[in-house]
Amino acid sequence: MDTSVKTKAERRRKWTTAMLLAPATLWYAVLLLLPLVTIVIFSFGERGPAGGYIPAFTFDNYLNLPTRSKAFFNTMTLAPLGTLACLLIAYPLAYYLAIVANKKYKTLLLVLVIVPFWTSLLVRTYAWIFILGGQGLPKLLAFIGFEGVRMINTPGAVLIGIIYIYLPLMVFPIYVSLEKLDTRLLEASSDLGASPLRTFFQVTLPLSIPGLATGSMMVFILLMGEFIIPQMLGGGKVYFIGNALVDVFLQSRNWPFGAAFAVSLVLIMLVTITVYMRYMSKLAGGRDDVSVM
Amino acid sequence: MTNKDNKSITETEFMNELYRYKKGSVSRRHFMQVTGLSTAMAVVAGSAPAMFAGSAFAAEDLGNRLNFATWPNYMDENNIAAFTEATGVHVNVSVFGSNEEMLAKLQAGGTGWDVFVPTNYTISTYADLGLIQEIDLSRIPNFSKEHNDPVFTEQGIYNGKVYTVPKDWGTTGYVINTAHTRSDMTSWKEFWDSAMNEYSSRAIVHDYQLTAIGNALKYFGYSFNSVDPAELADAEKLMIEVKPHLFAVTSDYQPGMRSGDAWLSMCWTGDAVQLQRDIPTMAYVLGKEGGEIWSDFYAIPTGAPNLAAAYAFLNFMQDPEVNAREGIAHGYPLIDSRAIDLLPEDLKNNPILYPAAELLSALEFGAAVSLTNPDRAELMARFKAA
Amino acid sequence: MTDDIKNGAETADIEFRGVSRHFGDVIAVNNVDISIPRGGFVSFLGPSGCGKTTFLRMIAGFEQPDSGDVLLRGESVVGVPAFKRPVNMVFQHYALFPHLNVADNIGYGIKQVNRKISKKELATRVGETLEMVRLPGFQERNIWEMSGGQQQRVALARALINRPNVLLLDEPLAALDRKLRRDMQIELQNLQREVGITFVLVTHDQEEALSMSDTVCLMKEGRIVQTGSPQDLYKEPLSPYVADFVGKSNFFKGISEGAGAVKLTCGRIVEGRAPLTVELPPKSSAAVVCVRPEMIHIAAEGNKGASEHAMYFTGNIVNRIFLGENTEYVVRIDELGDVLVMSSRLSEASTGTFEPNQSVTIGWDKDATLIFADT
Ligand SMILES: Nc1ncnc2c1ncn2[C@@H]1O[C@H](COP(=O)(O)OP(=O)(O)O)[C@@H](O)[C@H]1O
Ligand SMILES: [Mg+2]
Repeated sequence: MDTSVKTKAERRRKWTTAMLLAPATLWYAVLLLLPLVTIVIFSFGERGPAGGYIPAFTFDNYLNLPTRSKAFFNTMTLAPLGTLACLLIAYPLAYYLAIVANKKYKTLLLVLVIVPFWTSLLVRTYAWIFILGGQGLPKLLAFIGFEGVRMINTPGAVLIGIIYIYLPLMVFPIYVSLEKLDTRLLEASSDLGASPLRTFFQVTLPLSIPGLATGSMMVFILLMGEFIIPQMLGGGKVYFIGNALVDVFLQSRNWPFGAAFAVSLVLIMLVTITVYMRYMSKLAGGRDDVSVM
Repeated sequence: MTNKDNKSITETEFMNELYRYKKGSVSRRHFMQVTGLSTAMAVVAGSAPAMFAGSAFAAEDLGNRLNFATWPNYMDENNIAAFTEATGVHVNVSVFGSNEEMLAKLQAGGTGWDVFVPTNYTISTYADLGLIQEIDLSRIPNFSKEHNDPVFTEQGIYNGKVYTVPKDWGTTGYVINTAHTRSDMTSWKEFWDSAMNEYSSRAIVHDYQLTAIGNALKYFGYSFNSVDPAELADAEKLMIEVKPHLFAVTSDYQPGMRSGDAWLSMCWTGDAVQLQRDIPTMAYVLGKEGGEIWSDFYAIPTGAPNLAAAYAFLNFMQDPEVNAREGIAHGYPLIDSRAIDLLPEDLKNNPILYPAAELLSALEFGAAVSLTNPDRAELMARFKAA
Repeated sequence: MTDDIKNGAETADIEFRGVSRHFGDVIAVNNVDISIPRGGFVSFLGPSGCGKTTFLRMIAGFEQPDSGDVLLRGESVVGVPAFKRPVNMVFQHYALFPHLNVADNIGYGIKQVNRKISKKELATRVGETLEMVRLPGFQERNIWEMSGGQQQRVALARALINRPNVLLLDEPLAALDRKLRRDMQIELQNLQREVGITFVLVTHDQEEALSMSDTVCLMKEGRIVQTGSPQDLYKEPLSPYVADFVGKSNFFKGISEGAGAVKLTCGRIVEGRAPLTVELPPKSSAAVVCVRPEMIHIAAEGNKGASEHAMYFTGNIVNRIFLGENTEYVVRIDELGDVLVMSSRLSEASTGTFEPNQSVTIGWDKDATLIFADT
């Protein structure tokens, strides 16, 4: 008797949960799964005579991927490098904003970090074309004696663009996790004999890992698909997987090959993210109360 | 552009300025002054309501909306405004960078475009794929067959059916900044050779397979449109060899040329006109081996949602005065002689627009196969990824 | 003048000389002189905001004095950062490291001081310390799995493992429930005796301060107003503020008649004495009379007992609060206003209990009456 009442209530609760989750599930199925399945199917097909897709089953598209190894190489070096550079610049900035900065100016400083987002990405990247172009920084450098420095259309220019565009994305999650940090924990560490440096590495850093991991993950994932910055600041000479995708889809209209690209990109990301999250949660002390993402 | 009193500009104006700037028809200073990066925020904030406002005077049979896909900096804003004024049809302009991109969009479907601007060599492919519709010329009374040079109009006719009305034409050569380069360059051979030698890291090649490959083929004297595997292999070898020496692979070559970083670049007529107007040391070279001549058209995609408005728009654009204003704005040679007559003298007599006959005769129209050939597409992709 | 808690020949563990600390306009600690000898249990008692935490943080090294000198074992530590001071602190809400388990929290201090310590020795020390705070076997637990009382013990163990000269405790029991607080009070006392180092405890809870410490320093607005044993503070408060804060008191205003007598505002003259080290207020100056509620005898009106005392009044009971071992009555007296009277179970055995609205007589002795100057 008693148990039947319980299971009935339980069943009703499960039903409610299912109903509440239904829209989200549908959303994911339609927006995530469906395109993914389509792309996987396409990736085994053949290009039509005028482009597009013809059903087939071939591994040629995948076997053809190594011809674009430069794109993979560029992305797989500049995306982690860009993420790392963002991290190294964002962390002190976020630390300053969250812990050091005067409360009175905090909001103002935070707004300053977002201000660039108010202008279109295109306009901002365009500004860099001029800053890094011959009439910009190189001219300034020539003025003080460093002649012939070439900046635009180099991997360095792409890296600068990446840092500039993605920095706020890294600053905010780190800022949030540092802002939450109880400063008494830092005092406790100091009280127990740890120098400020050791306190940073033993307390501050481990406790900010969730923010750090979230920020890195966001920046990394977006960088893996980036194409505008390499296109504009790399002048077509620094080629990312994203550029290859755009070219294959929009110029060659070789959808199956593009799909193979996309599938491999997804796989690379899945593997990297899994490894990264494992490592981060280990760093965070294996706490299950702190989600790394 | 009325911005002398520093009023904030609308978003369309802003984007238009940006594109003009990208194509270099305005100087950098003008761009900064007109848009004012500081006022950019006001633009975004201020334009929001305008973006959603429909016309209050929507003509009943035309509808109130027209979706127009074209190229960057390829029209006179005032003409569009005048069209809206006259018909109540609001023109929604979207801008594309290549024929391939337009084709990809139309193939994927759901563009909602009413009018777009394809280049000559794409017409047959669009027609074969059923992506464009035949034009009923009786609905375009402003079009005058006898005033349009058949050399160009024929490019828009396929299997005896008229699919387009003419817009303008142009050539693809290269621009050199003679402040840094020899001024006696005349061939594609010189372009490619100097790009990997004395002008290493100073040359720009189009991010566009038709012209990049076509002009590499010209180095060897092959056809601009060749799809012969052996000839393409030669072209690829040359391109891959030059790649590390290039300043950039981009179709947005004006900033690089203007900043002095690049000294020579593949170039279309209009860009050459604009560059030379601002920097007189710029010169336009048509390779003596040949190269591309092209013409652009207005066409209506199959299933255009606002067909009546599309015809009204085409008819409006064929008006000689409107057309002449277009020509002044984009700087490309026109096809309709009635409109050419209305152009100012300096445009009519500019050798960049109207080159010597013997140079023109060596040029080829792009071929349909150049657009769809998978080997060329693959070659370009390999070149870019190299 | 330094408040010497005990007159020991040895150097004091902690010494403050004219120490002040300001935060903007707020003077958190105001010109404090104090010397705390080794091995005692000292409490700093005062209302919230009187500067107790700031005082403690200056010992720990989290705050530096604006003026004056802080000495630990005879050496000035002004400017010495916290991580170089031989004192440890139990924080108000424990401040345990959430990313470390119990053993790592407790071992944290050793690892900072002795980086080369072997795993085995570390485990031994952690184990011992856990036993000391009666949490054996809790090494692998996570912090968030521990109850408030257990976290308190972990915090204690963490602070004690480095064997500091001084243990600082900032309201360590405030977050515990009453029963647990009682147990911990006893445990803290035992622990202090066991380890033999100086405990400096800060609290706003007078009961806590009185029950645990050898010495209580009562603070007011950044100053120490009285230092002494709990008994001293209770029985011989130096001011009405102390009498009010330590235990409960009734205050009646009047004019000093000199010679241990005060004429109350109502005209009645009461007799009493000054606290041991304090002068009586001069004749004709404003004075305050203080009587502890438990020193007041209560009896039904007309009944003998209360009226036998030197001072007695009659009035009505307006409120009764049953506290278990005691009962508090609020008695409305025409001449005095409301008077708080505490009656023990024992005395109620003879007097019986009283009901609200009942007429009663209250009375107290001259010895139970303290006279202060009214400032
Ligand atoms: N960091 C600080 N900044 C500003 N004011 C402070 C700071 N710390 C303490 N104060 C002020 O100093 C006074 C004493 O504070 P505190 O020492 O925390 O008192 P307690 O611990 O007795 O409650 C209070 O008025 C408090 O507001
Ligand atoms: Mg406090």
